[in-house]
Amino acid sequence: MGFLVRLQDIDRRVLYLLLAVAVSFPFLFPAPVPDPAILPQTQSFFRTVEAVSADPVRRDKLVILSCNFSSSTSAESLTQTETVMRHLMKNKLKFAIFSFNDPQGRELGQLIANRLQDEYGYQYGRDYVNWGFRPPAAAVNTVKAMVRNIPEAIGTDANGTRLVEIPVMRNIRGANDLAAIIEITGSNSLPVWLQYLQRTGAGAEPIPTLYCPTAVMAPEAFPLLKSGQLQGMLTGLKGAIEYEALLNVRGFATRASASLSYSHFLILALIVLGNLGTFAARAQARRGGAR
Amino acid sequence: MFRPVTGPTLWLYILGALAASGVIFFVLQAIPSRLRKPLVALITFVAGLYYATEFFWPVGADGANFLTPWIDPLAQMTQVLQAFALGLGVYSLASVHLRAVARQRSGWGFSVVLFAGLFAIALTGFLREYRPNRFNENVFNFFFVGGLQSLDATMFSIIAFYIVSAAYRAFRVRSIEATILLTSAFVVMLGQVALGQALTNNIPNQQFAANFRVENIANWILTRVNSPALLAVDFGLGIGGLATALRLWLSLERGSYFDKEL
Amino acid sequence: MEHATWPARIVLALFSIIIIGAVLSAQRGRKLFIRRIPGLTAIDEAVGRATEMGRPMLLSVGLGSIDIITLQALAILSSIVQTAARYGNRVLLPVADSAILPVAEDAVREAYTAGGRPDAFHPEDVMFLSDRQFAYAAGVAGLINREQVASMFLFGTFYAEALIMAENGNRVGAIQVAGTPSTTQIPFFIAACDYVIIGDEFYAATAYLTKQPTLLGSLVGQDIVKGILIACIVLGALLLTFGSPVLYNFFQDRDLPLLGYLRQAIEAGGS
Repeated sequence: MGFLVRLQDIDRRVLYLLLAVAVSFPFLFPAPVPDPAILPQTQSFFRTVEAVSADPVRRDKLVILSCNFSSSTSAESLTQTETVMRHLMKNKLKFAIFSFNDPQGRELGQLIANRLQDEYGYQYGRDYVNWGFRPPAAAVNTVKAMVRNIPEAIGTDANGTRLVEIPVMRNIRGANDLAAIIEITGSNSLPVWLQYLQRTGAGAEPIPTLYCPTAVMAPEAFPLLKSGQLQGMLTGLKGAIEYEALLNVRGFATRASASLSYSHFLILALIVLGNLGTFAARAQARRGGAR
Repeated sequence: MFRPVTGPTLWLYILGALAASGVIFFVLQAIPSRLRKPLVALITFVAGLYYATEFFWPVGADGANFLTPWIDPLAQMTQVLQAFALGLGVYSLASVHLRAVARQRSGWGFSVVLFAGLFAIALTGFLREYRPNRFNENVFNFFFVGGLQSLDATMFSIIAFYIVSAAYRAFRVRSIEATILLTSAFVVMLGQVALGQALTNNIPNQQFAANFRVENIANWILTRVNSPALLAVDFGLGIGGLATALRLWLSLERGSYFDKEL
Repeated sequence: MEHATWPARIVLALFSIIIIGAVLSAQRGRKLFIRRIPGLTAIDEAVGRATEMGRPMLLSVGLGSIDIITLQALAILSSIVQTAARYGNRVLLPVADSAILPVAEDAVREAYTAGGRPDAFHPEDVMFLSDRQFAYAAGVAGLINREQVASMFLFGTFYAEALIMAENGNRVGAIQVAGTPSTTQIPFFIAACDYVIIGDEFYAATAYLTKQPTLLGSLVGQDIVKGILIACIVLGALLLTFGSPVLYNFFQDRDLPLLGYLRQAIEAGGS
């Protein structure tokens, strides 16, 4: 009984150690994990990219890959970037890396592009471009100016080359030349796209907007999926795992799946143990009271 | 609306701005204290009125009204004011830590580290910007990428450990509400990971049976229970924000800014 | 949407009139009642605990700049400091935005004066730490552990640093009261803090703590507005279910006969 009672108050250092083991163990000793179930929002994300690729008009337009995150959320955001960029490259879509929330975003986006470009035969300037970073205070004005003239609003790419001189930007003028907006973020940067760009194209339909938030932020976005403002969403690392399954590739997300599963099961086990301890303590107190 | 100027005109503008600021400063100092509160209230009202009118006034085909061109210059002015505030922040930080070093309070060594870090990253940042070469780039990267970014990522990852200890403590069967919270958290966590989803993999993911798969129950909780609750909270917050904004705009509120209702 | 749509113009104007009307009515002496909010009742307990233990209290307004949320948070914290000042407690208020620093310092100084202990105010206890999220969180965590704070009050805009601060508070055994409009952080506060005020209770807090007629009147106005919104939601759902999208179209800014007429009339008058 004494042992059970002690379970209600396990030293937090023990908890931390257990988590460190649960997270790192699957990376050191890979173990098979079942394929994840694909949620509707992930499926619609995938279908939207496929629909853009299948549309003869849209597929020549440009996808904005907005990397609004820093290294702190890289476990989720960088993994999402990798899996989404894979899909864009696989389908030969042109894209622009952009960041207006954290200067690290443009570098982290480029890091993934450098890693994948040879695998898919992509070339900087010809197939994709990095627009670089614009300060948060200028984000709204930049995005508003992009509606009519992207090369003028952005000016130069991350290397200082004028956008008009970059081949992939040929025929790209304003909002009408955008195929989709993909926002990968660890902060509240999505509204800028929804408010100032999404509905500015010539057609009645909004520019397809896809969202990759961290898992913590996802619940806030569910109403936007329902209202049709978002066409798909990848929820944190879990979303990336599902997307890799859809793409049939085995990247970092799939490797991290076991780690995510074990850490969740550890928390569940600890909650059960904590409650067992509480019950045992109550039972002991009742017996003590009866005596 | 405003075009950048260069050369002597720029200096003229700077001197003019300094002179105007000086005049405003002395006028404000000369105002009797009983008039200061109404003046603050008036400035707050006029400033708020501009933004409210700009937002509500009908716009033309270009999406702008007669007040819209002033938005950007005003935003820039606000940024300049905030840049001055940064100086206040650095002053506050420096005064606390200089005092700690001067009086050799316990842990004063950390204050020295703070100053070393502050100067190192500022200096290497300037050198990288104005004397660009490979060495300066590498030194800056050592501090920024190797130091700051890694420390940022470390602090963020610590949250995972804190979530474990907070969840372990919080999810206890204490009351009906706590039990509902615990049960829903349990299901959502199982539904989030492949290993948890595998528990109900044998149930067909079609028609009525699909409702019993753990990932579908978890998604239902998130999208049909949690999400409307969040929206309801947001409604309340929006209205509360509107009411607070109105009270501040019209200076109806008594708080740290006014010691009695105006 | 950078400018108001027609429904926004109508609805916001109506709501503003209702709230201002309720405030003015309360200022004329109408008696109003506010229900008990457990999280705010705990403030006295938390202040008392700091007094008993002779250890400082830590207050934070989070990462927000000068905006409505942070100003409201400062107003709540001013009330708490006023209570603390009566007992001569030491209050630490680290800030993350340098623009907030002079406002916060002024608010705390005035609260100490209002609490009758201007001498107990130490300007260096209101300090700027860093405007980088995790540097601020690390600074606050260090402060909590070094000073072994007895109670903590976290009101304002919080992001991922919320749990870092609250868990460190828990580690040193501080009583913690938190309230934030950042809905993603509410679950973390609930898990780690003793009392959490949720949603618009954040905006009701000053009314509850000060019982000022203006603030109570504003709360009544907010409740009326909320009632109207709930009625619109229920009515809109019913109308849409039975085939009439009139209310739905109104909020979607789609052309309605009456609204179209009003729009034309105003635009004709304006030109």
